[in-house]
Amino acid sequence: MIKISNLHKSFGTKLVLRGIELDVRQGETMVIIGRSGEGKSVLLKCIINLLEPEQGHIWFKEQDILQMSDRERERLRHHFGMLFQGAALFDSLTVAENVSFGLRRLTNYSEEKVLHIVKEKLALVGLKDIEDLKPAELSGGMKKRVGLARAIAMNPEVILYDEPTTGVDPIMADAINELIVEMKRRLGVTSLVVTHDMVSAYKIADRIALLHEGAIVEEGTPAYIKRSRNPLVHQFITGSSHGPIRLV
Amino acid sequence: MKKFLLLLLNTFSTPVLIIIEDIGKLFLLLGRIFHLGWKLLLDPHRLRRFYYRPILEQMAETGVNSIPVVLTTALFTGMVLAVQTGVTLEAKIQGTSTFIGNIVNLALVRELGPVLTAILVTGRIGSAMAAEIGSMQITEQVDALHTLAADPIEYLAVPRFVAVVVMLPLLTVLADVLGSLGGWLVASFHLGLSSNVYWSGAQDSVMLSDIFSGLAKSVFFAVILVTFALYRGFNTRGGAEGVGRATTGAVVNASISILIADYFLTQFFALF
Repeated sequence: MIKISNLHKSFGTKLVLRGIELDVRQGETMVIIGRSGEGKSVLLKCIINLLEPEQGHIWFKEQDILQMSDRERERLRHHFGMLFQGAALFDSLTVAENVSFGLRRLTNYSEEKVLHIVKEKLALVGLKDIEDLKPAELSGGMKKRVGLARAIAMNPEVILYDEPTTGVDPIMADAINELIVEMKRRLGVTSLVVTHDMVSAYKIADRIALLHEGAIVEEGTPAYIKRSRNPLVHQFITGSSHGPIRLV
Repeated sequence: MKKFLLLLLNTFSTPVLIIIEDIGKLFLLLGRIFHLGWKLLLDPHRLRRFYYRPILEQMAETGVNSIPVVLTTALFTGMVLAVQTGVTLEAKIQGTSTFIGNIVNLALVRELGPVLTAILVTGRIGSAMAAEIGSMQITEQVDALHTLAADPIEYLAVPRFVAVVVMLPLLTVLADVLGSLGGWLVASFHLGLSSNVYWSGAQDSVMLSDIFSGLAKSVFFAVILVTFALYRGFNTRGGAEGVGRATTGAVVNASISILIADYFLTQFFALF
C-alpha cells in the first residue's frame, strides 16, 4: 500500500531521515517506535506531503508521490487522514465545523447530510452532543477523539497517527488504542502510527518498526520485537537508559 | 586591512543574507496572496461559499473594532496639533494663528491620518494576526489545513489581506475627520479662532489630490502591515517564545517599513 525507499530529509545541517526503507501493507497497522526527536513525525509529514524530502521514493499504490504534480498530490491527500499529536483542532471553529471542514470543501453534500456524517463520525469515536462546543471546552482525550473523527470524515484509506496517546491519562490512552483497533476492524483502513508508548504499540500493531538515527533498524510483529536480540530494540522496549542508544 | 575587510564581511554577510532572504520570501508570499485572491475572484461560487463570512469577520475585527482607538487618537492628535501650531505661530508673528485650519488639516490628510492610523492598526491588528497564525503554526493547525485540502494562504491570508486593505483607508478617512474636528475644537474654544476662519483655511489648503495621496498611502501601508503580520505568523517556530518573537517582529518590521515607505511615497506624490 505504502512503500518507502531510501528516504532522506534534513533541516539545515541536521540530517533527520537517512535512508528510510519501509513497506506498509494494505489493511495493516504499522507502528513506528523511536525516541523523541528521531524524526518519526517528520516521516509522517513526508508521507502526507507536508514536508518535501531531499531524496528517495514514497509509493502509494504503485504511484511515486514525490514524482507527482501539485494537483495530483492535492488529490492524493484525500486518501489520507491524519490525527495530529495535539489534535490540531481549529480553535475558532466548533466541533461540528472541525469535523465537517474537509467535507464542506471537497463535497457538495447538503447541510443535512454533512451534519448526519458529523454525528456518525463522532459516534464512531464515542462522542455525542458536543457538536456546538469549541475545542477549548474539551478535555485532552476528547480533543484527540474529535481529531480522529475529523481525520475519518472523508473515509480515507490510510490514517496517520502522530503520537496518539501522548498527553492523555493511561485510561484514556487505552480507550484511544481501542479506537485505533476499532477503526481498522470497522473501516478496514491501513494505519501508520508513530509513538514511543510501548503499551500502545503492542496493543494496536500488526507490525512494529524501530526508527533510530534516521533509519529503520528493526521491523517485525510485536512478538518478534519482544524477542528481538537487537540491543537497540531491547534497550528501547525495556526503557533502559543504559545501552547503545545514547541519551544525547 | 585585508584581514579587517574579511572580518567585516564575515560579520555582516550572514545578517544581510538573512534580510535579503526574508525580503524575497515576503514578496513570494505577497505574490501568492495576489494569485490566490485573483483565482477566488474568478470563482464567485467558491468565494461566496467559503470566504464571504471570514472576510466580513476580519473586516469587523480590523475596521469596526479599531474605530474607538483610531478615533480617540485622531481627535487628540488634531487637538495637540492645533495647540502647538496656534501657540507657535502667534508667538512668532501676531495674527498668524488664523492659519491653524490650513496647517492642521493639511498635516492630517497628507501625513498624520494615514501614518498614525497605520501604526495603530499595526499595533492592534498586525500583532494579533501574527500571534494567531503563529499559534496555529506551532499547534499544527496550519498543517491540518493542508491535510484537509485547504491552502493555508488562501484560507488564512487572503481574507485578512482583503479586510485590512479595504478597512485601513476607511479608518484613515475617519481619522482625518476626527482629527480635523479636534483641531477645530481647540482653535474655536481654546484659541478663540472663529469657525469660519478655521474651515475656510481647511478648504483653501486641502486639495482633492491631498486626499487622494493620503488614501493611496494608506493602501500601501495596509499591504505592508498585513504582509509582515502574515509572514511573521506563518514563519513562527519554537513554542510560546516563538509566538512572542513573531508578534514583536511583525509590529517592529511593519512600523519601520511604513515610516520608510511614507518618505518615498511623499516624494512620489510630490511629483504630481
